Amino acid sequence: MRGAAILTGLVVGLCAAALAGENPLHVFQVMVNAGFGTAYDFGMTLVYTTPLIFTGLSVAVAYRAGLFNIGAEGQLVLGAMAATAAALGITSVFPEFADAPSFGARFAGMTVCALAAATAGGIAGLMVGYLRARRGSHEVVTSIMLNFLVTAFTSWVVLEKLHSLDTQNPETRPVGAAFRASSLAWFDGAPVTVWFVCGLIAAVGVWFIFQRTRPGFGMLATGANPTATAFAGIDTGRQMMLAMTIAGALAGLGGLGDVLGGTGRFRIGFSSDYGFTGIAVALLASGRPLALVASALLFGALHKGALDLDFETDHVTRDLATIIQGCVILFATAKWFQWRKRT
Amino acid sequence: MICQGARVIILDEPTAVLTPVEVKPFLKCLERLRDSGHAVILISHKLDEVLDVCGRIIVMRGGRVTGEFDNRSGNGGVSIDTLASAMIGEGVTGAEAPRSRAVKASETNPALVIDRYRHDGGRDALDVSLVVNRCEIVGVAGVEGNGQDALFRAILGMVPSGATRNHARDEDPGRIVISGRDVLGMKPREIRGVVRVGLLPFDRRDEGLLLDEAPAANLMLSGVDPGSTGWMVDWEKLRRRAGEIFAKYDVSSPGLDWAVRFMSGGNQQKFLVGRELGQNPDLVLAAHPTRGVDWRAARRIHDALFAARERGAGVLLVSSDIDELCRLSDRVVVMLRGRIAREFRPADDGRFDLAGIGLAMTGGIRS
Repeated sequence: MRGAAILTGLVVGLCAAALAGENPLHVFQVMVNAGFGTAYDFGMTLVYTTPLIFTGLSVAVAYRAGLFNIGAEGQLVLGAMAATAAALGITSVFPEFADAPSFGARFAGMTVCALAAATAGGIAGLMVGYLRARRGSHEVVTSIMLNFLVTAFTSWVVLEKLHSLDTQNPETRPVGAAFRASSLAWFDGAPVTVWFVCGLIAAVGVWFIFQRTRPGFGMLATGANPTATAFAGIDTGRQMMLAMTIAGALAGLGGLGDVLGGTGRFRIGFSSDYGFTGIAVALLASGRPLALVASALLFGALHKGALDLDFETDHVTRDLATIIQGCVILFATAKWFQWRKRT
Repeated sequence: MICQGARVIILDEPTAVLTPVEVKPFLKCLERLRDSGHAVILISHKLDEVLDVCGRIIVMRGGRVTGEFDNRSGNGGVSIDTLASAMIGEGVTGAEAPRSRAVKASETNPALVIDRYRHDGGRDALDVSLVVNRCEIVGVAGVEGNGQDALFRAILGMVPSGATRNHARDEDPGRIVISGRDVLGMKPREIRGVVRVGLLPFDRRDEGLLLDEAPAANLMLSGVDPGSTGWMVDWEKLRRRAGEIFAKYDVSSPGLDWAVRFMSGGNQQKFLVGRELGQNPDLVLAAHPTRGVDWRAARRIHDALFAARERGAGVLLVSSDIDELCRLSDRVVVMLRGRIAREFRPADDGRFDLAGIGLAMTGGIRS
C-alpha cells in the first residue's frame, strides 16, 4: 500500500515537472543521482535522514498515545541548544577536557550532551503533556506556541550568551573536540556520524516499548480508547505525560547530528523544518517505528535531491521536492487510521 | 426546526439536559405548540412529565407497544400505577427462574459499604448509603439517568472534578469501603491496586474494550488482574488466557488474532465477563450485563454472576430489565435522582413486589 502511495506521489510530482516544461525522466534521474549517486551523495542523504528519524519517532510516539506533537521542531531546537550549552559549559570549566581526544573522554562528552538534549526536549514535551493531561489545553496549540518560545529563547542565548567570538554569523562558539562526533569512514567525507546509528537504535527502542512493555501498552491503550483505559484504573493523564516526555526527548536528540556532528556549533535556523517534516515521516509510516526509518530515508533523499534540482534543471526548483512530498502524504494518509493488528 | 415550519415534532428525552426549574417552562412551551396546531411526540422516562402534558400515552417495552392510554382531562386521566405496571409487565414473576440460594449472604466483612456518600454535580449528584454483602447480589432498579453510572464511577474513584471540589467544602463526604479498605479519595489506579473490582461497564464498547486490538491486548485492561506484572508484557501468556476464556465462556470469534471489533456484541460481553469475573473479584459492578445479548449468552452470563456470588463476591447489578433484576438479586434497591429510594426483599416465595418497584422507580407514592 505504502509503495503504491509513494509511486503515485512520485508520478504526480513528475507530471508537475513535465507541465513546467522539464523532461520528467531527467528530473527523476537528477533526484536519484543526487540522493544515491555516489557514496558522498548517499552519505548526505543519511545526514538529512538522521534528524527525520528522531522527529518522526517523536511524532509517532505521541500519536500512539492519541496526541499530535506538532512541537517536535521546538523540542529539537531546544535539545540542540541544551547540548551545545552543556558542551560549552563543560569546556569553560575544564578547558583541557574539551580537547581530550581519547575515546573515553569523547564517549563521556557526547553522552553528557545527549542527556542534556534529551532532558531539555523531554521537559518541553512534558510541559505540553502536563497542560493537556491536567489542565485540558490542547497539545497542538501549546506545542505550536512553545515552538515560538524556543525560537526566541535560543536566539537570545546564541546572540547574548554563547555568541561566537570570531564571526558575525548568528551562531555559537564551536564545541570542543571531545563533543564532536567524527564522520563514519564509508561516505567519502559526508558527515554521517554515530548519531545516525543512534537514530536506528532509537527506532528499535520505540518499537520495543510499544510491542513489549506495560508503559508502552498503557500509552497505546490511552490512544486507542481513553475512556476504557480510565475505567480499567489506568491514569490516562499520566500516560499522556509519559508519551509527550518520550516524544520530546526523541525530538531533542534529533539536532545532535547537526550540532555535534556537521557544523559543531549551534546556528540560528539550522533546522530546515525537521520537526514538521517529521510529521510527514510518521504519517507515511503509520507511526510504525521500523517502517519509519525507511520513510525518513525517503524524505531525506527527497531533501537531498531537491538541492540538486536547482543546479541541474532549467525550469523547476527545489520546491518540486515539496510537491512530491505533499503528493506522497496525500496518497499515503488515506489509510492513516488503520494500525497494524497486534499478533 | 419550528422556524422552518415543522408541524410534527419528535422529542427524545428532552428534559434530560434541563435542570428541574427549567422543566416546567419547557413543558408549558410544548403545550403552546400543541395549542397552535403542532403534533408533539414526547419520548420520556419521567412519568410525571408525561402525565402532565400528554393527551395520549403509549407504553413501549422490548420493542412492542404494551399499553395505550387516554390522558385527556375529560377522561379523568391515567394513574401512575397503571403506567408503571404497563412498563414493568405483568407476566413477570420473580420466582420462575432458577435463583441460586445455595449460599447465604454473609453479613460479616461486606464487599461494599457506602455510608452516606454524597457529592453534588448536577445530574450526577449522589447521596447514597448502601451495603453489598459477600455472597450477595444487590440489584439496582431505576429509570436510567438517576445516578446509576455516577454511583459506579464513585465506587471506582472516577468522581467528576466538580464533585471532588465539593468534597473539599463538604464537612463529611461519607465513606466508601470495599472489602474492608476505605477507598474514598483514592485514585482509580490506587483502588485497583488494593482491592479486586470486576466491572461490566454501562457501555462495553466505549468503556470496556479496545475494539481495534486483539483479545490478548484487551485482557491488559482488566481491573482485577492485568495479567502480567512488572515492566514487560507476556503476550504469549495473555493469548493463552484469552483462549481459555473463549473456551470456558463459549465465546465464538473469528480468532485470537482478530480485533475484538469483529466479535458480536454478545461474544464481546461474554469475553468481558470472563475477563472481569474469572479472577475472583471481591466486588463486581455489573451494568446491563445482558443488554443486546441473545438468550443463550444471557444465561451464560447469569451463570457467571451466580458463580462469582458463590465464590464470595458481592455483586452490584444495575439493569433496566426488571425481570433479570428480580431473578438474579437477593435484594433490590431503587435509585431515584441519585438516592436510594427504597429497598425490597423477596417475599417467602422468592417473589419481589414488582408493582412496588415500578412505583418507586417512577417516584410515585403508593396511597
